[in-house]
Amino acid sequence: MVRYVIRRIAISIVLLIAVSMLIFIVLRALPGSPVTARLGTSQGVTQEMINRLTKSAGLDRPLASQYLTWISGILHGNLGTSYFTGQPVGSLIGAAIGPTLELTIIGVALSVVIAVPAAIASARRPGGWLDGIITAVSSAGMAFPPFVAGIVLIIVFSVQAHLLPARGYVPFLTNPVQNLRDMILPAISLAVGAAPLVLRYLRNELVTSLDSNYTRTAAGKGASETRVLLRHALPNAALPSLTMIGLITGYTLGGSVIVEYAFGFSGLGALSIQSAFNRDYAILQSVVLLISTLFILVSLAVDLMSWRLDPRTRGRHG
Amino acid sequence: MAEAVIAATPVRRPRRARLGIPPVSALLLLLIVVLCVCAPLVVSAGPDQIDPTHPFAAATGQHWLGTDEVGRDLLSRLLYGGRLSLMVCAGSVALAFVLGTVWGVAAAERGGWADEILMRGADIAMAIPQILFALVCVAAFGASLLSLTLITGILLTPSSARMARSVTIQETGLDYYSAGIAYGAGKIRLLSTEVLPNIFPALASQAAINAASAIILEASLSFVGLGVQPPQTSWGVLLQQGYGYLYNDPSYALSPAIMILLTVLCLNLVANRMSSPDARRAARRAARRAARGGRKVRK
Amino acid sequence: MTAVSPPAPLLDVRDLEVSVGDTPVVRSVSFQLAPGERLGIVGESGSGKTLTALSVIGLHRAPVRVSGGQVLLSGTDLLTMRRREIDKVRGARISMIYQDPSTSLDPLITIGAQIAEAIRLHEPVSRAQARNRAAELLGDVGVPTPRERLGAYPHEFSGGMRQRVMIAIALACQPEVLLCDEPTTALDVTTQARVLDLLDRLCREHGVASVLITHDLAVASGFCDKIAVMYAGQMVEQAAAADFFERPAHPYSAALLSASVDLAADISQPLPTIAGQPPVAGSLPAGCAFRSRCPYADEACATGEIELRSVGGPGSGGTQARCIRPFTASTNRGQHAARLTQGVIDG
Repeated sequence: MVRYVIRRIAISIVLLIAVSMLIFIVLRALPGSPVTARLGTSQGVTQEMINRLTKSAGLDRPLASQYLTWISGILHGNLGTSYFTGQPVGSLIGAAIGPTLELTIIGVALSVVIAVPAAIASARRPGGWLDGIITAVSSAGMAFPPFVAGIVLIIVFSVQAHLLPARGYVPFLTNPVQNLRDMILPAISLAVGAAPLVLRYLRNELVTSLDSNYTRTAAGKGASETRVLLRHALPNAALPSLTMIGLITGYTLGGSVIVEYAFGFSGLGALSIQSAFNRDYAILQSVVLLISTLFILVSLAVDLMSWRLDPRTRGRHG
Repeated sequence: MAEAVIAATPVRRPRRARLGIPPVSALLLLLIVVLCVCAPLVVSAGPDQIDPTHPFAAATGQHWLGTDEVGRDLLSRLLYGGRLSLMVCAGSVALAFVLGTVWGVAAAERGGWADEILMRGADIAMAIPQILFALVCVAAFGASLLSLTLITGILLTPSSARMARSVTIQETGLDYYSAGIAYGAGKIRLLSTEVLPNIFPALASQAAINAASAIILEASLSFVGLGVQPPQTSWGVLLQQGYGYLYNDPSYALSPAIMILLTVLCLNLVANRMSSPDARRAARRAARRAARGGRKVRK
Repeated sequence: MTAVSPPAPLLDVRDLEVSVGDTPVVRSVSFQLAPGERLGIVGESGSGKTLTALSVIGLHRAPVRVSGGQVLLSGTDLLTMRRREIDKVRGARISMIYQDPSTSLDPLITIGAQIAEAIRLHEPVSRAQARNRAAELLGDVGVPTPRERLGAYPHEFSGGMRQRVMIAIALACQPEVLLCDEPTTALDVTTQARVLDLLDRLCREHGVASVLITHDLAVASGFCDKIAVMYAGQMVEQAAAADFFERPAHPYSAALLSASVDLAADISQPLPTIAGQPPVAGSLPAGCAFRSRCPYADEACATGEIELRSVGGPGSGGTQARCIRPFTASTNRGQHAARLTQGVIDG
């Protein structure tokens, strides 16, 4: 069924293109704004200066041509130059992508590591006291926007306890220990909101699994409770839950934007905030497109993986 | 002749879907809203009343939450700020509710091409993480109360639309709807008088979830300086200001944080309960049936 | 000469009581199984047959719980065992096959692995050895080209094949007792016959005692040595199969037999049914649970507990019925058939 794979990839590509258009159109909806936003209120700005800057930034060309320049630039590795600083956008993004990727990966991994055992503990005795506590804590966690969780964590662990750093980021290769210490609080902030999403879904799937006939058959063979849970219930529950990984990646990518700002990470999120502030469209459009691309790619990967792992969908076997 | 047959076979209309609201969270929510709206009645000091002689004062009888870096009463700023946060929230949720319901119901009704296009549109919008989309919009349209409300409202619309579409499809699949059409009732009439009230709980629950997202979005934008602009204050602005003084006075940032948390938590709980009392009731009934008779293949 | 006391039964269920919450849904159920013997438990939907079987092997799930009685397998009470102890018994000494083969197999694991799992849970064999055994078992249950089929997944099999796989799994470790919960209900008629033949052959070959639960009396008649009838959670009759089908003692059993569809019957006549509905658990009438549907009930039937008692003298062969006025060997049942059942009015 390679047809499914091709179809799925094609859909993702179309989606990407549509997203790029959406970003572009929204940014260009009000003509000339980057220039006026940058210069508009300063003294001594003449219409002629505005016109000159507009022309040099290519903002006076028709929309379609500007869009195509951008897209073809992406395909050739040239993302244009910043309106503000004149630096090439590509190098800015390249410098910023590391912290974001690391934070996202650690955040998602941490969420899964927290969610799976908790979901198992919950599902073994649904309605029991442990289930109740876990569900309640889970709901509370979902109410924490990541950066609010970050602030609370900073207060507790940095301000009061002086245990962990509140700001700063050091690349992994430069100083792995410090890098990981810097990662702890931001990753937890993200996991506080993301883990409950996986937990809730996985728990429900586990309860269904544990209640189904094939787990009864396994027990009827003499399989222990642990074996029934880990060998039969969990894989069947994890398969549909895989899509949640895609979802929390989106959640984490979005959450990391503000979390990076709060923890002083110079990642893509901080870059996008800064460029939004400066109305620096050249950077903003590419950064947002990049992050959306990451989200779409992860969703695609997750979909293809669950398609591949389920013997019922991947077609004839053996 | 046809009328006689139709009259003879009454189609049972399902009971009106009822709204279930959890008392504690709803009450707490109401309390928060009332406190903020009636801020002048609660606090005597205005939110912008500066008192440079008493910065970072501890909680006292005069200043229940203490003061900020220029001596302004924090409780007052919290409540007045809450007004703005809640206003943006309410406005955007209302906007999303209206737009989303029309969008979703229309898609469900039309079916076919229109449905595809409308729903793909929602997919595209939802492929961009919300905060980033918001940043893009603020960069394009600037940050004012109005633009914030509109931007947030539009951002929340796709999820409202998706929810509206799926419950409409469910509802119009039920017998009473097809019977009504067969009997000659107009689609619009059926939709507005029968379907809409029945899908209301699901839409209301989605609205509550949207409200939580709206609060978070406003707080996020204001926190990074791209939302409510000083000298106006909101919970996000307060967070930002408090964040700058975490080492001097942690409670400065804690109070808006707790407000946001409580509001979001209550909204989530309310959304949960409202979502579908019928679905939960049906689930309970199924559990009782299963317990009574064991597993039966027949029937 | 003193009579030799019968050997201790292999499976001895005594006064089993199963409840949901505080409501008993299976009450004072007792039966015995000798090695190799076959018991058929028949009854309507909801009579408690499945719950009885599940409770015997301990596979019932909350909120169902066993509230009384004993289940003695070679003298050891299964109900008092901890999970770890009963895990050793399940699959090895007592097994079960279920009603719905399509949901009773793990969809993500190959059937070869699922059969091998049954083996390796109880016997210290290597993976390769277990695989070989699994292929043999698959062949035994009539799956063609078994070795190639080991790597197939459940969804690639038809219903009948899946049930054969279930049988292979259940008999993998050669248990002494096999519980079969409506094993052929979900299958079409021709497959039904084949699967039953398979069960018959394998149980005979390996000397497996079995309990066959079914609502289909024809199936029971072909397979079982003894019949037990359940109604409203209680056993209302137990008899040797031959005795049961010729001379049912309890009015309900007689009604059931009369109501069985006879293909040779006159099709212009309405189908015979038993009027009324079985009582709902928790709202049982005092006295006999069947009295509201029994044409012979009177005030005496409405009081007290009706015990399961042996029915009359010699020639009744150990039949027991829960009735104060059961049919005896001498009753002319033909007279009663029409009273016990009535035709369905329309469509």
